[in-house]
Amino acid sequence: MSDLRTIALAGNPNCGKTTLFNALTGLRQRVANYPGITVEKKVGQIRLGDGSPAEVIDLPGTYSLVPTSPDEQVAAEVLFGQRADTKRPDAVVAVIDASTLARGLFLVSQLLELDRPLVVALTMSDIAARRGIVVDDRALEAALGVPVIPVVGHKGVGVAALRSAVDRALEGNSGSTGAGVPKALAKAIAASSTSTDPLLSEIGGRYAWIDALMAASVRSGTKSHLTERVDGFLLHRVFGLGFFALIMGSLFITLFTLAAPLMDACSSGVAALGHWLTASMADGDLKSLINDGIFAGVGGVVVFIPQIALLFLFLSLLEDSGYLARAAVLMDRLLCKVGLHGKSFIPLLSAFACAIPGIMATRTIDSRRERLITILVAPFLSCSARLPVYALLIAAFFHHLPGWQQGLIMLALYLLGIFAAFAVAWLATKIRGRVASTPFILELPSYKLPQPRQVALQVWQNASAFLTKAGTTIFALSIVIWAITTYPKPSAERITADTSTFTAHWQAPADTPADKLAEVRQDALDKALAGKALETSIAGHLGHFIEPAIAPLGFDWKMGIGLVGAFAAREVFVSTLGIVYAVGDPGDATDGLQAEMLADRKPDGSPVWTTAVATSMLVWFVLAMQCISTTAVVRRETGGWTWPLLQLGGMNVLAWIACLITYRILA
Amino acid sequence: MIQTLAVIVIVALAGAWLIRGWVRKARSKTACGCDHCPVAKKPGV
Repeated sequence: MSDLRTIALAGNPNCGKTTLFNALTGLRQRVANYPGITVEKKVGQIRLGDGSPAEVIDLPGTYSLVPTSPDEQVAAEVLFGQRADTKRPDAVVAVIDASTLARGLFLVSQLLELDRPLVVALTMSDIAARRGIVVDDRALEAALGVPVIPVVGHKGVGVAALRSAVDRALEGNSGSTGAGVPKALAKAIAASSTSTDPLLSEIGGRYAWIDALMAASVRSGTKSHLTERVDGFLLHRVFGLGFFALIMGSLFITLFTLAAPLMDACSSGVAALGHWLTASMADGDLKSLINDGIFAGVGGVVVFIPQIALLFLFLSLLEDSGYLARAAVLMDRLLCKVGLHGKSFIPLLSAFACAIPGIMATRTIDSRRERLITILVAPFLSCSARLPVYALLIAAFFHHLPGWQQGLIMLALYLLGIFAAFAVAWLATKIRGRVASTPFILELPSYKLPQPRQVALQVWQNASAFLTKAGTTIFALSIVIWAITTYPKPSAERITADTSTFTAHWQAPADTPADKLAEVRQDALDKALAGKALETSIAGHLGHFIEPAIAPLGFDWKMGIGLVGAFAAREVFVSTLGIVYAVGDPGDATDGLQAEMLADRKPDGSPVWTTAVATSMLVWFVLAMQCISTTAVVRRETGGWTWPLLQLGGMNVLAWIACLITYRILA
Repeated sequence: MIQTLAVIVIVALAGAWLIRGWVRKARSKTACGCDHCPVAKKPGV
């Protein structure tokens, strides 16, 4: 625990607390979880007026200090100094949304009773003004007896004044200690303590005080509520869903069209760097390791950074604008129909980034059965690790289609995952019976323009997580995969025998000029020997071993090597194929992986990769359970091996059958 | 010869690093298996 002075930011969910936290702390923050629970703990540092550092804690959103959820429990425990892992705050900043002032003031009425210096930060004044609500912060300050500072977090307005007010509060000369509970509040609570339920009467007393306070310090106009009118359309059960589909469709089309040129630039950059680094090296295993292992493997995955960044850019724009909360409400109706809960939406949405945080976020679901079903179906949703595989196969085999149609194929893959998740959840509910569901309550934030700083932070966090994985796990795996695709090397006798077989059967292409014949023959021989060498490697044997199981789906042994690699992490499929084709082709491979795959031929001369094979592979990646880390987390979360093994077996059998049907129809 | 030696060292280091990571993940007391997040293992659903 830190010895620094601590300032806690407390407030209702979606009141602008995190924006203010970011404005106060900048990038000097770290995110973890409170021990034992998946409630996020955000801590940052600021400099106080005397230059000394202080710690700022962004508490989970809460409506009162009488908790009703794990998040609220944590907030209350920190404020009361009941958590062993977190120091009791030296001062509290109550963040209240001017557009939903009464709810915020209810929390303030309880914070005033804490024996801690309190400062009120009034956010969203601009949105309140648009709704015709004008808050007189001076009148509010006089009534509360603590400083009230209007702030606009994303513009930094009022942040300096807030910092000074916190400074004064910590020095104890602002008159803002909790000892000063307004007499009017104490009187209102005392006056209402006639009811038989003490809690209800206390709430009644607090709201009576809030009503009086609002009457004195708030002017409400009669401007129409834009948010409510927009919600009438966006939450409509027909138009709302149509708009949701339109938004998602546009997202994927834009994703594909915008990312393509950026990815090409990344790809050229990576290839150029690899060649520049090894230009002066003598041919040998080390050069091959760097070019065919590290650059083909890591580089093959890194080029997808623009798509990952764009996906998270769009998602954070939707979240920051307030639309994602509406999507959760829309989805609640659909989720209930298939036996899931509205609370499943956030875990399922997280699973689009990675199934692991999604599965861990299911701890917020109260019903054991709904939680289990959410855990079982979460890996169907396309995580960001599948994105490179989708992008590679779509760009290679559907390149004749315009960009917007390629985007729609990508959307169809995401929808297939959603459909599979819903179908399995529905089936599980049918088999195990339905439980009485608790209602889904969610605060709908006002619509607002996304803040560039918030969006940039979120994009950076996700892109850097992907880059870190590429630079560590995928880097090490690429080296190991290169080794198993290179060793053991064929013996000298084997090479001589393969050369003789090649010489006996090789025929020059009809249009080869006579002066190029020797060169073309040498190239073909090198390629044939490299292919044979790959077959004799450990990976080659492994690929041939699993080939009988995957051949009915249209996959050959080289794809088998990729599929085995994908069990470590799905995106490793791309890096493994990159290495397999780089090792199996002695050329410079400057055309990239897509060209290598398109040029790959079976012994009879027919292409290895066809549209049917690529589609079957895409279906495999949507439906198959390949992530070992996810299986480990499911085991821990369900407390045994039954459910993870059932999930692993069930998803892979389903994927195998779906691929077989897809391949048979298309081939 | 130097290239072969370098390759042996690099591959061994990468393999050892991966195995170390997997062992740490398996022994980890956190649900996600990472080193930095203090989410405790929670038995049962």
